Amino acid sequence: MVMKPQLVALLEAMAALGLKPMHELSPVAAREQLEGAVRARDITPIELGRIEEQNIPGPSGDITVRVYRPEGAEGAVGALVYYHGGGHVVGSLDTHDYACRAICRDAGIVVMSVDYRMGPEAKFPAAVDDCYAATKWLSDNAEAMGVRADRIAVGGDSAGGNLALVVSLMSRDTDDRLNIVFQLLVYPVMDYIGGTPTYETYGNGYGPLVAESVPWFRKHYFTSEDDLADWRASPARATTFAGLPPALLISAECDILAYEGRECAERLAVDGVACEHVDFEGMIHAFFTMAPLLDDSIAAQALAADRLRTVLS
Amino acid sequence: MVTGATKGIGRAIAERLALEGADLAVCARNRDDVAKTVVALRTMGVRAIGGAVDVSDETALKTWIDSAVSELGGLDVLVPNVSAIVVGDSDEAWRGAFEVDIMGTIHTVNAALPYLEKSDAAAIVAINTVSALFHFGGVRAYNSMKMALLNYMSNLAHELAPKGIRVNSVAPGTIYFEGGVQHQREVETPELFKSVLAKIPMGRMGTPKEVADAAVFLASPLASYIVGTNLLIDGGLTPSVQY
Repeated sequence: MVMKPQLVALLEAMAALGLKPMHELSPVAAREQLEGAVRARDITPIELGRIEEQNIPGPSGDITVRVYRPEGAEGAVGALVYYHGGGHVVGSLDTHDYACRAICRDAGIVVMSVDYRMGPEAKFPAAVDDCYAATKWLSDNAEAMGVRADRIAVGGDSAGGNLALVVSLMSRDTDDRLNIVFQLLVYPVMDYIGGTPTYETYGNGYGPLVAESVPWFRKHYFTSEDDLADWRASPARATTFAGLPPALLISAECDILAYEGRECAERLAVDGVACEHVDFEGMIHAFFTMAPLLDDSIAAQALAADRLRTVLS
Repeated sequence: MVTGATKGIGRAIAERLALEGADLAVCARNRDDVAKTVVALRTMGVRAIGGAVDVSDETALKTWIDSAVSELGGLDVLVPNVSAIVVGDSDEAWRGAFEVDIMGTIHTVNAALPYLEKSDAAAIVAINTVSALFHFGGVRAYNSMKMALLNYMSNLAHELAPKGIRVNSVAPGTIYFEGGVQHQREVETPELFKSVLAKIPMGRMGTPKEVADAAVFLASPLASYIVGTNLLIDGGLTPSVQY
């Protein structure tokens, strides 16, 4: 229940930026604040073989993807389709650029980060539809992209973890045969209704995500509260997880989503899905994207890369 | 905390407690049913957690109770609701009913007591049955187990009152819900169902909600001076004078 000293120091430095809780801002202002906070870290980017943005066809206009290719990768390699976090309202290719680069380098795989549509401009299930379409597109165009169609993983943090699980469920239940072989679920949002004990325990004072902001995300992502019951919104409501690909679930101890992460890992295991659950003690929501400023964040990204390298090689 | 809370009376009690704003820990044997119940309770705006637990497994039960109380930060109300509802008369039926109805309840109470003692609004509400009180359904394990539980709860009420823990029971009559005993009876033995219905002065069976309302009343501060009672909720079915 105690945050690690290095994290506390980092949060203090962030506090000096005078960031406001997201629910006190408009979506546009909240996005700008997040982008600015990430830029302020002034991190030297990791050099890779090639990084390119391109537009691919989506269900409602083109979707921009950023494709990271590791240095020295010859021929077709495995790939991770990455959905960034941010409550389906904020976050971007840029805010999650470092994590994608680190995973690309350390796993030796292609990472395709998806700039999916978000609320309030595009309400649920726009994000879901875009993420699924982008994943299907990579599967269909694997050869041209230098990717092995039988070595595609999905992954994401927070809202992105939610989307990764949802894309896996959709793939399982359709005839598209995307052949997703692995899921990287970093503190996934399992159910937008909340109501778990950790919403109270870690609801305030544990980093940038406060429990009070969740209704704000709901308001901007969903058209009506009825959407919450849809498993594409809250994958905890899926009838079963049986038949999903193996997963690595990374959670943070001091996170409002810690409890639902644990529930997810338990349920995957009971439904016969190989799930490795690693909880990072003394860490908070969003710690996964604080590398290279935070040792545990570097370790978590390295862990994800290690498992992806093993599964996708 | 409500055991056996995914269906019927247990589910109704959990929802009624949620309606009052109580955070809930619920358990039942079927994991999927537990998950659905927990989601439904969270949707009502309270914190809820669940476990797939068989109350006849003492170790698993105690482990779950300890972790649930730790997660929610305390325990005020315990509703040990699980019953095997064994209507048979074989050795196996009696032993099975004893393990679940008697030992399951005692183990639930014992594991919860240290936490209830710390609460300033502690209450146990047990679910009994009017069929323990008069000749109803013939020789069968269920009625006898419930009568034993009535005695247990009554003594427990006296023992725990000085510690500020109120113990009471509710005794439902014939309660009808989809998938419940009366529903089964209606489908499988419609004549018996009709004859039971004819014995109820109110002319209808009760609903899980009607039991839940009474149980939650007894669990609440509205019943702050009620100890050791067995509140009948039976539409007048019980023929004897109540005292």
